[in-house]
Amino acid sequence: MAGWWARPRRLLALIVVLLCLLSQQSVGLAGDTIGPGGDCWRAGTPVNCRVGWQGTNSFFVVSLVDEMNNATYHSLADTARNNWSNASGPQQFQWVASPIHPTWVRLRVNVGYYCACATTNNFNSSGTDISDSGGFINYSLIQISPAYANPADANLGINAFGHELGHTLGLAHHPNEMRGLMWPYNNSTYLAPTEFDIGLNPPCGLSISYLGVRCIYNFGLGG
Amino acid sequence: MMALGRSIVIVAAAVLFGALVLVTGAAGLGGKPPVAPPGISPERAAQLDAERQSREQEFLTAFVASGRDPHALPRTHLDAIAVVAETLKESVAAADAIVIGVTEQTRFVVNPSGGLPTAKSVVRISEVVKSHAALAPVGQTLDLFQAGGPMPYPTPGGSLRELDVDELVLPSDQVVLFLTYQPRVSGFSPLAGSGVYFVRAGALTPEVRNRFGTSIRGRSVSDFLVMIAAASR
Repeated sequence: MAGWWARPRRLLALIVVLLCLLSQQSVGLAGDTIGPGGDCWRAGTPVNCRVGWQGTNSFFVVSLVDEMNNATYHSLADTARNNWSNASGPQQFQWVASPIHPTWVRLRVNVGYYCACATTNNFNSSGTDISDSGGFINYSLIQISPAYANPADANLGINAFGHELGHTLGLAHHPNEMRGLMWPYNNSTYLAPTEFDIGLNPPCGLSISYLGVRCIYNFGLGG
Repeated sequence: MMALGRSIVIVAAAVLFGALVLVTGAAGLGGKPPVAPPGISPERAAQLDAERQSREQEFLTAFVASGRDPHALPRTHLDAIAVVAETLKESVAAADAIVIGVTEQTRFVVNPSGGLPTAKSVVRISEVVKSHAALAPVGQTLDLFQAGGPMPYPTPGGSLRELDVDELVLPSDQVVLFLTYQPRVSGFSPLAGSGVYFVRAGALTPEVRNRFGTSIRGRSVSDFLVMIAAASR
């Protein structure tokens, strides 16, 4: 009896382990991408990444242009920039005096925003706003309201800039996970990207949603 | 018994094969991946931005000149991050003023910072629930400032583009407003996400980003006033 059952038992055990691994990959461990599931590298998913990406496991640099003319805002944005650049993933942000090809982000104060709020517009190479639809992001505009100029809690500003930088990378709101930057409600708790923003290592499981920057840019295979 | 064993092996092999197909599919091995374009120069982008802004201003000017009802435009949202009250109690505490009123007029103007237009509405106050030194008495009006207005996209024919945490009030709208005083314009703006409640056929409709909106939706104004009073204690 034991003889006929031994081989299939081993095989079934292997399958169970494999399915467990796959199911682990598909739970909501990472920030949503626009699409959903948009990325640079897979056939059959919506394209959603920045121009300038060089391929699997490559870092890329996004230039930041400060048009806010405000030292407080610059300091808040710089902390957010530093937090993203030091986090896992392919993204590096650096300040520049003026936009640099191939990809850049302008940061501005919008006096027409009366709420304490911030937004990001992503544009493709035709100058079309693709914030809602995805596509190859050529350049971006982050706008923040004047309400953060003297914030009672500076961390709110850092969280807001960190969140918007996440949008420039192709991340969408993560409405079901508050433990990360892509939670759509401003808070002073999360100042740097967490595992829910960085996401899983590719191939990112079977789910096409709940994917972070690693999945967008195919970064971290085997790592 | 041997036949049963072979069947199990065959089924298991099929499941394993299926799983491998799915994994390779997820890894992007099943087709031609997209190719990133080289990107345009900053100068070209600036030119495209100027053209887009020009189209936006032309659309806004033409819309205002036409006298069209902005209710006729489909609403579209630009996602925003904002501090949004989690409970009615927080919202009541955060509001400088709470009023019930009807919008008499809404004027859309070009935003000096570009992007979304600025909407300035005049709201006739019918009831003051929470007062503020700068608030006019019942029967008078308040000036309400919001971001948003007619834009030539993303829907064909244009849309009423607004922040998802700042839904626009429009002429003839009956509303309950939770307000923040804005000294720089000597007017008010709604609290982000929980500042506007539309009264439609006697029932309240909160904003889409209202975090406690499900407890308000469909209620009458009088019910809501009771809830506000309870949340104030």
